[in-house]
Amino acid sequence: MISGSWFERQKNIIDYSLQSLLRRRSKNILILIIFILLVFAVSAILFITGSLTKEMMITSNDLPDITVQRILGGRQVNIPASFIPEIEKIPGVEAVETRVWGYFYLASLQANFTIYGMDLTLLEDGEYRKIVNWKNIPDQAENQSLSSRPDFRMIIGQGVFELLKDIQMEKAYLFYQPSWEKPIPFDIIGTFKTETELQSNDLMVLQTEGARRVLELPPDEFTDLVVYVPNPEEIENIALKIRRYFPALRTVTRAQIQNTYASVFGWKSAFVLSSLLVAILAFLILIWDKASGLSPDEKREIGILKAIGWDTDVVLSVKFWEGFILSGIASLAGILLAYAYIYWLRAPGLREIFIGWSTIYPSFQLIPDVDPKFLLLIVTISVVPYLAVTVFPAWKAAITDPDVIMRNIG
Amino acid sequence: MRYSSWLVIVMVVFCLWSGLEYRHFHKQLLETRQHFNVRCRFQKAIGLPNLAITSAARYLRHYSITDLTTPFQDYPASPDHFPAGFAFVPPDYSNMPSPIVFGNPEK
Repeated sequence: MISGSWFERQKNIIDYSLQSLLRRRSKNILILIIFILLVFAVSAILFITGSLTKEMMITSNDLPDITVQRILGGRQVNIPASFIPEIEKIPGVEAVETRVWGYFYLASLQANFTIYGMDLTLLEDGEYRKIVNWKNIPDQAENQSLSSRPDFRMIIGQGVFELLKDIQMEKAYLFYQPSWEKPIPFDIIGTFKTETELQSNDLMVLQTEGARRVLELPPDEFTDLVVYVPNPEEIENIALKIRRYFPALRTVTRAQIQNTYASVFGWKSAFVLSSLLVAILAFLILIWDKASGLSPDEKREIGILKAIGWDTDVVLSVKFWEGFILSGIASLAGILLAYAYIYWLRAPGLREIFIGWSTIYPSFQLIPDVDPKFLLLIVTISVVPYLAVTVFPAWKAAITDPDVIMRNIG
Repeated sequence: MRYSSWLVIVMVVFCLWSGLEYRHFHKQLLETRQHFNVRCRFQKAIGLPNLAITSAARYLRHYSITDLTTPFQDYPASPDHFPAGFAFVPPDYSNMPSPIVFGNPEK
């Protein structure tokens, strides 16, 4: 059995290892299933959090340089226009832009929309035209009718569109709050392209004046300001100056937003921590069970093999292959299943954790984020410890006198 | 058939499966590259950060620019009311305005 070339020899040993695994079929299948589930859980979490972070990071360089908010009583409040010339005076500031945005809760659909006010004509021409699927303007006549109420137009995200379609409001939408005298109708002139779904899904971009009406924002007040600084080296300094000169203002620089992106689903989040702790604990129990020693049957088997003339190294090879085949198949299957689950099936069950109670959410078609380093880490921390705890007890049994083992007096 | 031959068959199946997933991975990356310009333009036009994966609460939707007291209302890292809050780390407060500034700094 152990003669022939090295390759033939290993093949025979693998044959024997597989037979040995199959002999204790139920126990090994159980270990395999638990092992696959553990690797699957850890990989799935790494995949989904990595992909979400990547999705955020991919456009982060196009964020404004500094976002300026006014904080009153620990809460963000509207910022008056009087701050704008003061901030513009700071050397190094190229431009200060105002933003009007907020949220609109539609009780009947239990949906939270993000309302963003801007001059929609900016999106109508040039390079920005490509981000919108233009609708409701099939001919010049209708175009004219729309332009008669230019302040009451909006472009919506795909998710909002689907929702409004259900209530037959996909062409025009009536904003209404019980405190208002009458509803405010808005024509929907387009939807954002599905490529931007992860950013635009819950968004309603309104003409600024219309947005002011919906958000009930007084004139000369804005939700926040955006400061552009051409020299990236100066951004931190200018943010510091703004905070020093105007203690009521809070600044958020692009680098800070990128930092929050990098850490938002990090190790500290309860989701990642709890999933990993459970996985690690389960793996430790598995390892503990293995490390606590071989069963009397397994010991007797090693004793018999030694007694009929097998060398210790061949016995160890058998055990090595047993552990390697089991943990290797489990790691590979776990990782491949996790990939299929996250990127093919779009993480059913897991995505609900991220969606929470939202009514509008995107389709979760994420950019795959498969880091070879992580894969190697997963394989290393699953295969190597398992191999160690499989081979070590076998080595202990193999160096004991076969007679002692077979009589079970060891 | 020998047991080792079965193992080889299993490995071949795994290789094919990996190949399929790699193809998908590659296709997705190409698609991402094609969509990259549209997404960057969108980000430039609408300067709001964060992904629209949850709109349950405003501090989850615009996590990076939320005000300081809205999330985790009782104390930092307190268990959150909204289920999606479970997946988010408490925001970094290190960018708070320095709390004590004496005098009126010169402009």
